[in-house]
Amino acid sequence: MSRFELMGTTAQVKVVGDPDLERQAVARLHELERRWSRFVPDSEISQLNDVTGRPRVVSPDTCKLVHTACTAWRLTRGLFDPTVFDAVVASGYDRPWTHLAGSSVLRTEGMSASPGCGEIVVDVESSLVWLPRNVRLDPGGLGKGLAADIVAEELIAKGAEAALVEIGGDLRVAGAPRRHWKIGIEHPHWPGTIVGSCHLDDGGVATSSRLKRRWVLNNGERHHLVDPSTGQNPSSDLDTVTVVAGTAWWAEALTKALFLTPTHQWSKMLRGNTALGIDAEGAMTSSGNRRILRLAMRDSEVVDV
Amino acid sequence: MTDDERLQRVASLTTRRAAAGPIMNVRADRLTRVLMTASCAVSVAGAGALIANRHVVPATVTKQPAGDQPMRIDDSLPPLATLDGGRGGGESRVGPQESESGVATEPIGERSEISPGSSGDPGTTSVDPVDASSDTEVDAITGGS
Repeated sequence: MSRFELMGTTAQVKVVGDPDLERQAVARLHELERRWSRFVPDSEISQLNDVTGRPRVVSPDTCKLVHTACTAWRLTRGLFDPTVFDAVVASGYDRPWTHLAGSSVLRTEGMSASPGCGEIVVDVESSLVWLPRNVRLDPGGLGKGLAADIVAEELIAKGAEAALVEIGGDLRVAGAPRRHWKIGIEHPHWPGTIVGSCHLDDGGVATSSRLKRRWVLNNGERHHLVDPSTGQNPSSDLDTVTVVAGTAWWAEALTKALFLTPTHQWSKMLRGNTALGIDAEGAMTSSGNRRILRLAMRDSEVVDV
Repeated sequence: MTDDERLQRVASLTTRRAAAGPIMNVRADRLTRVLMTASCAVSVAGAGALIANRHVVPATVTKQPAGDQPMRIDDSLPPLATLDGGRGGGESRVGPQESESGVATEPIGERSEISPGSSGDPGTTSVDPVDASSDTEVDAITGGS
């Protein structure tokens, strides 16, 4: 098992198979970070954001990232939106988290609605991406999830029996494990305490939390989750949302969408995937499959929607 | 794809993009589909061209058809997570299950293909429930970052 710093957080790779595959996976993840980080000035995402309004040929990896982000935007009807870049920067998150943590930021510009992906052109065959003028991308958690998906699938293609790739709690498991992968869900108010677990052979798990990545903006506290329709933090009672889906990128996109979806409409958004939400009082809401999501409390303590 | 082909493709996209005119409201995806349907119904070439030119909605240019046909939208959903699936022949996705509280969870459409069944059949599953509280051994922890 390898554990290392990546994309502003901690990552780990577990491979059942040739140990050298683990080393290759770590190198591949660093390569994806160099291509996708908005904090790396010469990353392909930074270059796309610097020159909007013109088509640009990018690597197949980056083309896939933009395509996937736009797909997530469409499938969630805009509730997940990778074009929140300007809103996120306006809110003060304009530097790597390691530099922002604990900081107090002053800003005069206001936050506004995000433009969305409707005018973005992605041509996979020519590996071309065309961002409309002043539309910029923040891959955010979806970049982490997709990186986990890509590397886990590549590991299996290279002969690994099974693989787990985790980046900051967003993860993908793949292959044919000898036993089910078991992913613990951390209680948002009691770090280190597991409230339940996700059991799966192949799929992605992601959690979004409004209690992490917080900073002070103009004397008011902010966090990294953004409602694309306002540019502001979402007005949700939930502290965390965890989703289990077939891929990590889709799980990640759904966590963002569920923060903006009334719980009674979760199943419609989830389309068969599984989710757990925990609010500020510790109350839990779940939707989906209870064989995948197993909680350490009685059913009466969890609202099924 | 050769450089020449790529350049040709970029030129084609550039032309189409330039013809698209004013930026269409990104929330108008539904409107685009309505217009597309309408164009099929009335078969007005001008309307078709207009829609084709405007149809640059999210990442849909994955496979650009010849001519001025509207670009295809891939509406397929990502797969579900699997448990006890994909081994020994038949793939078995985890399907909807009635929770212990008796509240049935209902995935939409065809996403869930099977429900838990007996062991021995490669197409079905049988998993012993795990008490999450009694087993703290996990492969990873998710909690946001």
